[in-house]
Formats: sequence, structure tokens, C-alpha cells
Amino acid sequence: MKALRALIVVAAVVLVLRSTWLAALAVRGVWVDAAVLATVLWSLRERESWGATFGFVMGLATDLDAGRLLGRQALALSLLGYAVGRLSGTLVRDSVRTQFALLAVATLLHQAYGLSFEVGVAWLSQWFWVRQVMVTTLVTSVAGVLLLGLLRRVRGRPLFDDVPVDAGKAL
Amino acid sequence: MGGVLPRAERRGSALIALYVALSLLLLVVGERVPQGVLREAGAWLFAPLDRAVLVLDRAVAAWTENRQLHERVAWLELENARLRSAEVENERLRGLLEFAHTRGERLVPAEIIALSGDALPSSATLDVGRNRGVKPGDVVITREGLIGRVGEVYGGSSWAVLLTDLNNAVACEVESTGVQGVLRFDLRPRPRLVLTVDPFADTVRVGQRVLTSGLSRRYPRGIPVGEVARVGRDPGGLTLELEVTPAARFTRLRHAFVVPREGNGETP
Repeated sequence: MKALRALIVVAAVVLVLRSTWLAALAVRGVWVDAAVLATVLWSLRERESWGATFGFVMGLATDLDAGRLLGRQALALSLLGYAVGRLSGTLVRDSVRTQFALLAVATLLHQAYGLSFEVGVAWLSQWFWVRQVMVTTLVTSVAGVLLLGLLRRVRGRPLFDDVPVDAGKAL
Repeated sequence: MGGVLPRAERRGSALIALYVALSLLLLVVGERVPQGVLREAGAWLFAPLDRAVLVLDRAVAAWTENRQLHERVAWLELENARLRSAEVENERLRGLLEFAHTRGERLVPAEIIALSGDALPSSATLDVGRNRGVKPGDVVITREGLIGRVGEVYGGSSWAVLLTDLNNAVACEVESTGVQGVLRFDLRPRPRLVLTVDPFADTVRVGQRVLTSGLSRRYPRGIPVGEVARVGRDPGGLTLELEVTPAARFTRLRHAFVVPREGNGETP
């Protein structure tokens, strides 16, 4: 129940930020894929079941919000949440490089998927969209890593508890 | 398989199978789902949160905006005086030419509380709805020009489709040339507004204003839409493509006006 409450709160916060500050940034050309960012971070922490659930809820909400085909983002984000959740069991989740790589791959895949619907596969031959996907991937990955770093600093210890707090200390 | 995988993984696999099946089902039958009702519930739920976030943002910008608005008001007062005299003259001339009498349009001030869309915003939530007499199909403008039209109306808010929606089309004309065409948002090769006109519209020059033509029943005539930024030919060579820079500043969408349309009984 606690996890469900947290899921609803986080999803609501992301949706509000997405339709206010991030939308204002988007029209200025700086796109942050907030849905992917939140889904990846949530799945890293909560593993595949909750990751897929979060992705599905987030995707459904963004589909509805955008007034487009229902199920499109829900499908992509739930699969993404599940995949990242599964991977998180075998990765060192506190590693900045791991976080960056996961966010980059997830954003790249999600952007490619979304643009294939909006622009068609021809986006690959159009420099504007290729550049935009690269910039979005970079911005989202950096924002995600910075956010995780900030949360880790606030918490005062590793977020995911993969690494022992006293690692390296002589026993 | 159930005996091979650990319990948590079995649960994960079952859930993802369920979500994929649900998503695919929605992709097939999603059009039949009453999305308007769900969006209304979402707008009702999220409007206070959106407002709370925007309050902070607006407070920062309010001071600068206030100064600019004072300047603007002073300028408009002068412009108003000039237009009043022009209106008197216009009325007299219309009378002489027996033109139809035109009425001033009522404007409903609205605040844009949220923007939504994949990557680029293609719709906006306004803080006025049925409570202020807004109806589906009403036109939404800013002081600079057209931004879209109302798609769905709820109790205290409404959902507007912006010019940046791929399915939105506006009948427009290039000012003082009589060249008419249809304005659409295009994503190829980059996001832009394109006015498609006939290939003989060679009188159009970069910098000329684009206005609504009134040919479409959805938009009244004469609302500024933007100005011609580039004149090009479509890939097939059959039509001219005029790239249009929007008059409304989409990077600063905060306040708008809904123009209630006389006899507008459009349903979304």
C-alpha cells in the first residue's frame, strides 16, 4: 500500500512538472523526457513488477493528456519499466556510469519509438530530429544522474544499497 | 515456467503480460473509450497542482511583466484613441457602401494552466469552462494572435487544441495579396507552421502577415496568425509552401482570450 501511494505521488508530481515547467522548456527547444526519466529511476529502485506498473500508469496518463492514441506510451513505458527493473537486479545501481547508460539507452529508444509514430521512420534522415533525439537523450541522462546524485546527498548514503556503506574499510 | 522462475519474477512476467495486453487492447479500441470524461477528471484533479507550480513561476516573472504591461497599456491607450477615430470613419464609409455592420467581439480572459503533448505541446488547459460560457469550437487567441481553438469544455476548465497539433488546420490568407490557403503544423523536416497555397501565388513576400481568412467556419476572419518566413515549393511542385512564424509567442503562453462564437453549437 505504501509503495502504491508513493507511485501515485511520484507519477502525479512528474505529470505536473511535465505540463508546466518542462512544457515551457520544450517550446524553447530543450526537451527532457520526464516520463522515461521517472520510469527508469522508479524501476531501478523498485524492480520489474513496480517498474512495469509505474511505466503503464505513467504511459496511460501521458497518452490521455496528449489526446492521442491510448495505449501507445503505456505499451512503451511498461516494457521499459520491466526491462530496467529486470536489469537492475544484475547491475550496480549506485554506479553513476550505469545510471547514465541506462537513462541514455532508455531515452534513445523511447524517443525513436515516439518519433516513428509522429514523423515516421523518415526522422532518421532528417538532421533536425536526429539532433533533437541526441540532445534530449543527453539532457535527460544528465538530469537523471544529477537528480540521483542530489537524492543520494540528501539521504547521506547510497540510494540503492548495492554497495556496502563501509565498503573498503578493513574488517 | 512457473516452477523455474522465482516468485517475484513470475509476478513481474505476469504483470508485464497483462500491461502489454491492456495496451494493445487500448490501441485497438481506445477510440471508443470516453477520453473526454477521463480528461475532465484529470483536469479537475490536476488543476490545483498545476496552479501551485505556476504560482512560483509567475511570481518571478510578474514584476518584469507588470512594467512591460504598463508600457503596453500606455501605448494601447494611444492606439485606442487612433482606432476610435478610424472606427468612426470606417462606420461612415461602411454606411456609404452599405456594408454589413460588424460587431465587436466579446473576449473571455483565460489563464493557461498546463500544456501537454509529446515533446512539443499540442494542447493547453485553460482555467475557464462552462462557468464562463466557453463552448467547444471557440477560438483561443493571445494579444499577439491565434493560438488554437477549444476542443473540450469542462465545468471550470477547458482543453484547447493548439496550432501545433498535427490534426489542426486553419484557413488563412496572406494580408493584402488575397492569396489563400490552409495552415497546418508539420514535423518534417522540422517542426514548423506551413501555409499551403496555389502555385501562382508569386506575389507573396517574406515578412507579409498571415491572417485567418474566414473560409473555415471555425475561425472568424482577420485574426493574426503569423508572418511569412520563407517561400518554398512543395516536394511535388504542385503547390507553394509558405513557412509561417507564429504571431503568438508559444514560448510564453500564459494568458489567453477565448472568443465565444455566435451560434457556436459545435460538439467536440
